[in-house]
Amino acid sequence: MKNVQQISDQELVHLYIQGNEACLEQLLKRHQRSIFSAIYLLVKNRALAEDIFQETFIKIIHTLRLGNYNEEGKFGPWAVRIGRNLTIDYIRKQKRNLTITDSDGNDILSYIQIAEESREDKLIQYQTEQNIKELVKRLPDEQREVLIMRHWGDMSFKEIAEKTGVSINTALGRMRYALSNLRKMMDQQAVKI
Amino acid sequence: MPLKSTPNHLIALLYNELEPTAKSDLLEELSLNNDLQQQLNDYAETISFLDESELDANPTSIQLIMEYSAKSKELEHA
Repeated sequence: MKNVQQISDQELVHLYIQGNEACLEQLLKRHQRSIFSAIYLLVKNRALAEDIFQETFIKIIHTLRLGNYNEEGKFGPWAVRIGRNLTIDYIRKQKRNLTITDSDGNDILSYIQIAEESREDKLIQYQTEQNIKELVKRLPDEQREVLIMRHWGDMSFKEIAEKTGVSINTALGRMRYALSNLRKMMDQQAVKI
Repeated sequence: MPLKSTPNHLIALLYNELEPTAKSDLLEELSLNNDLQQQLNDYAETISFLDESELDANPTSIQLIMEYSAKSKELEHA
């Protein structure tokens, strides 16, 4: 039998369904970075991203075992889509359920989120290797979305265009602006490339 | 000589999504146009920075997922 490292995603999925746990581990190794990045860059909170990442794989495990996986050869983009959809569901629920206002009508949750972010921001400032997360967070939503889907989600510009309801040229343009803006921010902050 | 390629073609080239004819035209333009080549280098450097960024899940998460998979498999066969 071939080493698991030499096996395609498609074969790994089939072998995992047949009971080979090492194949799931290999799929995790190959795709954890793109899936986790896609989640983290949307929620901007490490602990929460870890929770959603685990939930994503629980859903993947169930889907595979139930025989409902039919994206032959496209495990990575499929898994990123699950993670992204679970994250969006979480954000929607948060927005719907947690609107507690103070006497002036301000959303108390926004204070808490700001406090958490600034504490996290301070930590990240001391971790230069984490700079990219900060820079990506500052991109306009449309640019950040395309960047995440293409770079970490491994989706083609055609797939992104279909998913976001724009032309391929618009998706390419958003990616180009995202890269240009990142470059400008790096220059401003003297981030070493 | 007017450019056949647009800046968006540079992005498609870097992500290996440019059609063969457009790719050939762009490569020709790049060989004649230093500004365009510099633009391509800037995008490539930024992409390379993205590649190097560490956005890995915690090993504990990976371990918990593996444990979940093993336990749920046992329950299925119990």
